[in-house]
Amino acid sequence: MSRRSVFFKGIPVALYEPETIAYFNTLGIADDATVYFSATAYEKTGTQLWAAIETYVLALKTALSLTAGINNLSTRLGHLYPFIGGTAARHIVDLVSGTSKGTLSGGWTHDGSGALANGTNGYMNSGTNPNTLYGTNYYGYIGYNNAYTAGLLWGSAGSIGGADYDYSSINGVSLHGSFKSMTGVTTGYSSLYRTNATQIKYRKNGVLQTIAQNYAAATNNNVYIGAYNNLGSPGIYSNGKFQLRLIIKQPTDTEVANIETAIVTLQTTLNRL
Amino acid sequence: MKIAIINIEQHREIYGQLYDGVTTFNPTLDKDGNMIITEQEIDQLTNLNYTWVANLIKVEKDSQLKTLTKEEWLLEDKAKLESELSKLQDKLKTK
Repeated sequence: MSRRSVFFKGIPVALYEPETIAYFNTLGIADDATVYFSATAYEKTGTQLWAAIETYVLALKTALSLTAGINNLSTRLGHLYPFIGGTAARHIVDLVSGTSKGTLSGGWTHDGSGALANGTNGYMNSGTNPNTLYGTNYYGYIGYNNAYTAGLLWGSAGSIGGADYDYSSINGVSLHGSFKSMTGVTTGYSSLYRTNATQIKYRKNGVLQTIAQNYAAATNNNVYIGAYNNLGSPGIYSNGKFQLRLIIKQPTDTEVANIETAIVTLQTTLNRL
Repeated sequence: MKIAIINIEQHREIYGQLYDGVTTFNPTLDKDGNMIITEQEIDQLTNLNYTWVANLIKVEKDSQLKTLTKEEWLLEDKAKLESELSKLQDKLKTK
């Protein structure tokens, strides 16, 4: 596997962020001229894919005031799935940990544009339990999707009849909870997050909405992507195409806006808008 | 969107197993209570332990949904259970 480095006084100095290197090493995509998704709108060389993710990682670190050059995205992000590489094995790779953290089930179609859930039984277990990861800290979800008309983009229910629900959908399913279900976006980026105990903030393609909703507790089940986790069983399957999903600890409005800008830049570079 | 109906025994065999080396089968119920898997799970099958999946007959999702009375549904369910019971009994006899 190619790993571009230069040496300064005998010490290797990576030209890429450590998260970028770990991510592509797990994907099995070298930083070279190999062409991926040939003769499609998503055709890129390995080097172009490395450059696109590197730009995105650096923008994320700038947005989150993290020091470049060290592995530190995990201080704020629980997972980040860029859905790059066009195969199931590559789409389960988490950029934060550089591991195959996600678990796919049911019907999916994978290509250079992302991962398309079939709306009947396809979902991905993100491997992230917000309660375990963030405890009483506020957190939020940011993502990019396409061609989405039904189901839940992501979600998890923490308890039977409890208030610890996290959901995002376009259906406005009437469920109460710490995040609550609300109108989503059919194409583009959306963010759902908290900065305090009494409000949910929801951004649809950059337009901020604030909804009064008291915080109860973080859900204590893994968040599913493409469905919601109903105490261990998937439900309300999405038919959306997933192109990026992340979960973030204690985001500010400015951070969310800057992360969204970085996501749009990434999708533009990959021709996946 | 196409699906294929499977029986209880087939469900037990494939539930949670990988069909392409990465993704697990996720049999689910349709509106009539039939256990189904989807065309992606069939078309992308590479797991040689479940080659019979590739031979399942695919039909359009919801194309076979029925509108039955309560009594007719009970008869339908009874017939399904009897069919499954018969298959299991035959399997027991061969062992």
